[in-house]
Amino acid sequence: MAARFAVVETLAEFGCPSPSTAAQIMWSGVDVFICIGYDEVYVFNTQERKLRIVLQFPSPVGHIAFSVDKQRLYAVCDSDSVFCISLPSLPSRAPTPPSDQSPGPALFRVSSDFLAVREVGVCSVVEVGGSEGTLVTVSQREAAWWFTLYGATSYRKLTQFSLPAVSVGLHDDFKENGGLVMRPSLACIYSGDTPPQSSSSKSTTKPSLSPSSTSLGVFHLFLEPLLFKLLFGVDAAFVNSPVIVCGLPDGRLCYFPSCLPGQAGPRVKVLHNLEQPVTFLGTSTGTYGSQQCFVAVGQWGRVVLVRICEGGAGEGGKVAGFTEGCVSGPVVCVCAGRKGLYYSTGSDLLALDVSGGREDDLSPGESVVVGHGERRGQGQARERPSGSGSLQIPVSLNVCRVIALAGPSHNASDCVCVAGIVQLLALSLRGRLQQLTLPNGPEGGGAPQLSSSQVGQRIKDLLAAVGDVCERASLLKSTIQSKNNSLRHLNQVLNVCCLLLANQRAGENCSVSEKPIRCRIVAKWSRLLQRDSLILTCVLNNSSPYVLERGWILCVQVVPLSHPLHEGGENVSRTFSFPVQKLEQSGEMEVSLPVATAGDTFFPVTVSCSLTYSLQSLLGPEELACLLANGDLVSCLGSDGGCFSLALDTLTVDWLDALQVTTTTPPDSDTKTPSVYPITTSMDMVEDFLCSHRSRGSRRGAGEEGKVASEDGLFSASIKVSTELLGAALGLEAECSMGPQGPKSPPLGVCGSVLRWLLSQGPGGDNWRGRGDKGGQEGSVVYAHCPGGHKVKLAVKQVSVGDGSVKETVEMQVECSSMTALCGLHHAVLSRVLTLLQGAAGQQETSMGVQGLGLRQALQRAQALYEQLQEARIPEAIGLGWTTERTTKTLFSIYRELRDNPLLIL
Amino acid sequence: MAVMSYESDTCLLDRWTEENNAIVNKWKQHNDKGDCVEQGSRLLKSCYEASLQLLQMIQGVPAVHDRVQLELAVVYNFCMFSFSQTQLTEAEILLTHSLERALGAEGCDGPPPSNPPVFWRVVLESLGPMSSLCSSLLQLLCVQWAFWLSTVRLGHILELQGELLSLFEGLGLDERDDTRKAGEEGLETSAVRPALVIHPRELKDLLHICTVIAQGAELLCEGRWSEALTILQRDPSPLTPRDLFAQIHTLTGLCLSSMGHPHSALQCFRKALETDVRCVSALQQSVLVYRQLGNTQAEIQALRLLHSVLMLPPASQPTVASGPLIAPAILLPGQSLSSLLSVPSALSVLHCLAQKCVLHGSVSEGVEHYLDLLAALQSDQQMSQVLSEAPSLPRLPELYLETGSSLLMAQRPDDCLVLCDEVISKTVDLLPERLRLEEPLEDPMEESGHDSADRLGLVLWCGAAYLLQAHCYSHLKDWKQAVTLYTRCISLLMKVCVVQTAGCVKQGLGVRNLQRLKGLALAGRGISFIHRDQNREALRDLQLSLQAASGCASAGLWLTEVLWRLGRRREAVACWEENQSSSSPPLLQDAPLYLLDPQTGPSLDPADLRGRMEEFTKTQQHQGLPL
Repeated sequence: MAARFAVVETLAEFGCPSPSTAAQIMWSGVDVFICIGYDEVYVFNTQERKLRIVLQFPSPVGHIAFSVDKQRLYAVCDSDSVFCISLPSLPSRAPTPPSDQSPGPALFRVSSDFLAVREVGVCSVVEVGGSEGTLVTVSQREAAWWFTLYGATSYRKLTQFSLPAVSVGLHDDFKENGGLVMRPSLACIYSGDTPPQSSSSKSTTKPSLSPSSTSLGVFHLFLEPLLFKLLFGVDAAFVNSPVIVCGLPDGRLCYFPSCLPGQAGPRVKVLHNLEQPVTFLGTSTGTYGSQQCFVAVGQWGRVVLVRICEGGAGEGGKVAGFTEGCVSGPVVCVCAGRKGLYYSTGSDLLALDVSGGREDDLSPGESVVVGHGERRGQGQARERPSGSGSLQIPVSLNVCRVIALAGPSHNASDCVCVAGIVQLLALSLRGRLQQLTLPNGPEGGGAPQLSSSQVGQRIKDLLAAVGDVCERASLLKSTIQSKNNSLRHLNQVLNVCCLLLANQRAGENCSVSEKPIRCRIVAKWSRLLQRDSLILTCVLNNSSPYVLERGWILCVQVVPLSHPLHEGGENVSRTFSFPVQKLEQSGEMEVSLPVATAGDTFFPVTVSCSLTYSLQSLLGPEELACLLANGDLVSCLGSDGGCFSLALDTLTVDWLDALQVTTTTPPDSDTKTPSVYPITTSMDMVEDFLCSHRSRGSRRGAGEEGKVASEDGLFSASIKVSTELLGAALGLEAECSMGPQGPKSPPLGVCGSVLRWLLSQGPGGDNWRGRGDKGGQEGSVVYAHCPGGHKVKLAVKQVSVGDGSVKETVEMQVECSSMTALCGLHHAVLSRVLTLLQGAAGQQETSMGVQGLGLRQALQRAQALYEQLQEARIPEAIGLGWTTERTTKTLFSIYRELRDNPLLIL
Repeated sequence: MAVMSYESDTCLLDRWTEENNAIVNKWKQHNDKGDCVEQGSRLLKSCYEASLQLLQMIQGVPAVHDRVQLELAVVYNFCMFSFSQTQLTEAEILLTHSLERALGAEGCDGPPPSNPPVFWRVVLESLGPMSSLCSSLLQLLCVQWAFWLSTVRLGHILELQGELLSLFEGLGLDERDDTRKAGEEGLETSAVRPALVIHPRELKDLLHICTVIAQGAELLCEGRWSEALTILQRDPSPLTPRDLFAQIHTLTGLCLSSMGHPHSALQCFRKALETDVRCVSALQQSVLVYRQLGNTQAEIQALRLLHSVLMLPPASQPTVASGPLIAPAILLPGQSLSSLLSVPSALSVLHCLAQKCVLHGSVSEGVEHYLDLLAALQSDQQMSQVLSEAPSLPRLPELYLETGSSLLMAQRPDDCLVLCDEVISKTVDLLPERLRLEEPLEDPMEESGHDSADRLGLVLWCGAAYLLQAHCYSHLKDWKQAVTLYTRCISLLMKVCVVQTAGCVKQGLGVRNLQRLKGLALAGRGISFIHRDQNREALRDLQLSLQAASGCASAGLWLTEVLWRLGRRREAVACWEENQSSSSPPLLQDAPLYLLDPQTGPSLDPADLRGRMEEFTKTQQHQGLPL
C-alpha cells in the first residue's frame, strides 16, 4: 500500500459535532456550508477564510442539501420539518459591526416562516431539476420508507410512494455506530445526454464529465445512456426522466423515476442490496480506457461498482455488471474525485481508484452479476467475491479523524486550484475545518498504467508534436529574418534619400565632384553595323557611406533642347532605366546608352540622371502577388506604386561633344561631301540664337556679309575672348605672360590648349578626353565631322584687336558647310566659354577699359544690322507681299554677319 | 406559574379568557374577510401555536373548578386548529389530559379507564349533570368524534352512537340561546364566556354526514351492499356540502351497480354529477358501467367529460360552514372509501380515450389524443399534476407504438416512421443476442421472471417498430424498403427461442404476441413480394405466416391470390374455401393496438376473388373434374 501524505491546514474550528448525526460539509462557490448536527449551520468563506453567516434553526439540523441551481438550501430539522432558505437573500455581514472590530459573522435566525414541508419522520431531501423542480423527501414512519414528491416552489404534495422497511439489524448498527443515526442517501441521476433544464450551475460544468458526487444528495449525477437504460429501464429514457436513487440504511439501493406516470408493478424498485447502511452514491466518469460506472459504498466497506459489460454466453447483448468489493471499514464519509473516491475510516483517509477496471477485467460469473433479475433469482453468495480482488488497493493519505469530506475543489468554481493538486475540505472529529492538499491525487498519483501499445502511440504522438513545433519555429524564424532584411534595406534607402535630398537643397551650385553620389557622362562615337552612333557612357559613382542595394534604379533621361518640327509636340525625350544590383561604397557602375546615330542633329541634349526607388522591391514575390491579388497594393503604396525619384545630375551633350575629330590638317576638298542629310534649318533654332545674342546687342556692318558667305557655301562663326581672361580661366598664366611676341605667331601653347580644352571637356566630367590629343598639341586647327556628316573646321588663333590699345585675343573660329552645325557648334563653344568664365569670374578683376577697341566700328556694324533687321521686318509688318524666302534670306544674312564678327569677350 | 398567588386567580382567568378570545377573533375576522389562502394558512399556524401556548400555560397550574370551563374551551379551539396542522395525535392526547384534569377538579378521582368509549361514558356520567360543563363536554365529544373519524375508528363511534345521538339533541337545544347570546354580544360577554372557533352544531352536521359516508364505504367494501344502501339512503341533512352529497350519490350508485342494477346506478351517478360537477368518481363509475353495458359511444363521451374535468384547474375549496378549519378530506381518510372513489390519472384517462377512439372509428380524434398524451409525458407539466398511484398507463414504448399505429391508420406514415425510429433507437442497444424462453413464463408480476419478460418485451417493441415502419413503406408503395424492414423484424424475432415445457398448453401473452408479430411480418413481406412479382418467395412467406399465427385474415386471401397467379388454381380454390370456412375471427382482444391487422396498405377485393373462385369451380364442375 503506497502511502502518501496530505498537507493539512486548519481553516477554522467549530464545536465538536453531534455524535448522533453525520456531519456534512458542502461547497457552494467559495462558501462552505457546515452542518455538525446542532441547531446551527455555518457558512464559511474560503476566500476570506472566515465565518460568514451562522444560520440558526429552531431545532437540530440533521441533513442539508442544495437546490439544483444552488440558490436555495434545504435543511431537515428534527425529523419532521424541512426548511428552505434562499441563499442570495442571506445577509452578507452582521447588521451592526462594532466599529473597533472587523465584522463578525452574521446571525440569521431561521423562523418557522421558512418552513417548506412538514413531514413526520423525514430524513433526507433532494431536489430534481425541471421547469418547476421537484423536491423529493424520504421519510421513515409506520414501518415503511416514504418517498414524497413536492413541487419545489409551491411545496404542494404531488405524490407519494412507499417501500416496506426491513428492520434487520438496524438496532445493532445503531449501537455499533455509537448512536449515529444513519440517513438514507439520495441521488438524482440523469441519463448522460439529458442535461437538466433551467439550472444555472450546471451550465458551467459539462454534465457527463463533471465528477459530481453525492455523499448526501449534493449534486446530480449523469450516467451514460446505455447504462442508465440497463439499470433503470427503458421507460425513463423515453421521457428523459431523472431517476431518484436512494441508498437506505438497511442496505437496499432502490430507485424510481421522478416523473413517470404510474405503471404496472411497484413504483419503487430495488436495484441491489449492500446489506449494510449505504453511505455514498456516485458515479465515476469514463476516463481514458475505462468505462463510466455507478458506485455505491456501504458503511462497513462494501463497494459496488456497476458497469456495462457483455452478457453471458446464453444471450449476449449488453448487461449491467455488478462488481462488489470490500475495503476496510468503517466508511465514515466519502467524496468523489475525478477518477476515484476519497473516504475516511475515522482513523485514516484513503483514496480508492474505481476507474481502473477495464472491460476485460470483468468476466461474468466470478465477480460480476449478470442482470439484476437473474441475480435475485439465484443466491447472493455466488457472485459476491471474497475479499477485494476486483477493486484496486486504496492508497492511504495519512489523515486521521476525518468525519466529513467535500471537494475536490476543482469541482467548485472559484477555488484555489493548482494543476495536478487536489484539495479537499474535511471536518475532523473535533470540529476542525481542514483543507487537505493531496500531493497528487489519484488523478495523477497512481502512475498511469498504460499498455505498451499505448506507450508507443503516446511517443509517436509526442514526436509528431515536436516535429510540428520545430517546423513552425523555423517558419517563424525565416519570417523574422526576411522582415529584418527589409528593415535594414529600408534603412539604407532612407539614408540615401536623405543624402540626396540634402544635396538637392544645398543647391545646384555645389560642384559635381563634391556630391557623394554622382553621375558623369562620356560621349563616344562607335561604329556598329556600318553605322556610326554616339554612345553615352554614364558612370554612377557612389562615394557615400551607404550601399545602393537592389531596388534602386538609375534613370537616365535624354531630352533634346531643340528638336525638329516635324516631330510635332510629342515628347521626344527618352528615358533609360538601369536597375542597380548592388553598389558598394566607392563603387562605380557604368552603363552605356545610344544617344544618336550619324544623322541625328538635334544637339544639344540634356541628360538628367536620377535614382528611383520602388517600395515594391521591399516585398517578397509572394507578398507582392498576394497584395496584387487582393488589390491592396494601390491602397498600401499609393497610386504610383510606391516609387520615388531623386535627381542626381543634369548634364548637357552639345555639338562639340558630338564631333568626330578626323585630323588637324585640312582634308581633301573632294572628301567634303555635300550633305547627305538635308539640312533641316529651322527657324526655331535661328530664333534661339537670335534671342540669346540680342541682349549683347552686337551688330555687324552690313557690308561685310558677302565676304563671309564664302563662295563654296562654307559658313563660319567666331568668338573672340581676351587671351588674358581665357588664359587665367584655363590656368595658362605662364604662357599668357610671355604672350605677345607677335600677332602673327601666337604661341602655339595657348591656342592648342584652348582647342584641347574645347574638344576634351566632356559633359559633367573634369577629365580630359583623349580625342583631340593627337592633333591638339601640334596645331590650332582641327577638322572634324559633325553629326550631320558635314565637315567642320575648328580653328583657334590669337589675334589682336583694337586700334590704339591692342588687346590680345583668342579667336575661336568654326567653319562648316552646314548652317545647323555651325549654329550648334557656335552655341556649344559659347556656352563652354560662358561656363568657364562664370566659374572663374570671382577670381579675376577686369582691369582694362575697352573704349578704344574698335568700339565705334562695332557699334556701326550693329547699327547697320539693326537697320537691316528693321527693313526685313517692315514688309511683314505692313503686310506687303514679300516672299518668305526673301525674308528668310535677309534674316539669315544678318545672322551670319552677327556670327562672323563677334564682340570681343573680355 | 407554580408560584402564582391565589389572589391572582380570577385575574388569571380573565386574562386567559381574553387571550383565548383574542385568538378566536383574529381567526374569525380573517375568515370573514376571506383573505388569500397562503395568508390564511400562516394565520392558522400562528393561531395554532398561540392556542397551544395558552393551553400549556393553563395546564401548568393545578386544575380548579372555576377554570375548567375555560380550559375545555381552549382545548376545543386548540383541537380545531390542530386539524389544519395535521397534528391530531398530540391534540388528542391533550384533549384526554384536559378531561382528566376536569375530572380531578370536580373531585371525581380514580384512574380513568383506558378504553376511550368507556372513558367517555365515565366523563359524561360524572360531569354531565353539571349544567355549567354540559355544553363544553358536548363540544369536546364532537371533537373526539372527529378524531375517531379521521383515524377511521368507526367502532368507537358505533359504540357511543346512542350517547352521540341523544346528546346532539341537547347540543341543539341547550346551547342555542347561550351561543346566540355570546355571538350577538360579542366582546362584552367574552369576559364571561370563552369564545369558540366553530359552533359545535356546524361541526356536528359535518361529522354526521361524514360518518354516513365512511360507514357506507366500509360496508360496500365488505360486500354488504343492501346494508350500505340502507345507511346511505338515510335522509341527509339539507346543509350537507355539495361534494359530500355527490359522494353519497356515487356510493349509492356503486351499491346499485354491484347489486345488478346498472341503469339505476347510472341515474345515481347522474344525480351526483348534477349535485357536484366535479364529482369525477361518478364519471369514472359511469364509464365503467357503460363499458360493462357495451355502450362504446357513451363510454367515449363519458371519458371525454372525465378528462376535461380532470384537466380543470383545482377548484378553490368549497366554502363549508366550518371554513377551512376542518376539511372533509381530513375526516374521511378511509382506505376503502378512497379505493371506491379512486379515479385514474388524467393521463391514463387520456390514453383510454385515445385507444377507444382509434378502435371505434374516430381515428383522427384518437391520434390527437395520443399526441397530446405523448406531449404531456415529454413535458414537465405532469410533474406539477398530482400523480395518482393507479397503475394504468402501458409501458412507454408500447404507448409510442400505439401512437405510431394510429398515425398510420390516420394516413400519416411519415409521423409514424419518426415515432418508430425513436422506439428503435431507444431499444436497439439493449437487445440481447439470443433469448431463450421457457414456457410458460412466470407471472411477470413476480420478481423472478421479470428479467426475461423484460427482454422479451424489448424484442417485441423493437420488432413491432420495424413492423410498423414496414407497414408504412408498403403503404407508400416502397416495396423494396418494406421488404428490408419486414426482414429486419423477422430476423430479430428469430433470435427468440421458445421452449415449450411439457404439459403446458396455454401460451403466455408475451409469446402470443411474439407469434402474432412473426405472422404479421411474414404476411407483410409476402404481400410485398407479390407486388414485386416475386411470387415464389411470396408463397413461402404467406404459408409460413399462416403457420406462425392463424389470425391474419388478409394472409389467407393473399395466399389464394398468389396461388392463383402461380397457376395453381385448384390449390387456390382449396385455400379459399378453407379460408371461408374458418372465417371466425380469432380472439384478438388482448392483442395490442400495434399488432392488429394493418388497416392501410394493399388490399384485395374479396368479391373479385370470390367471383374468380366461383367461376373456376363452376367450369371445373362443368368439365366434370373432381375438385
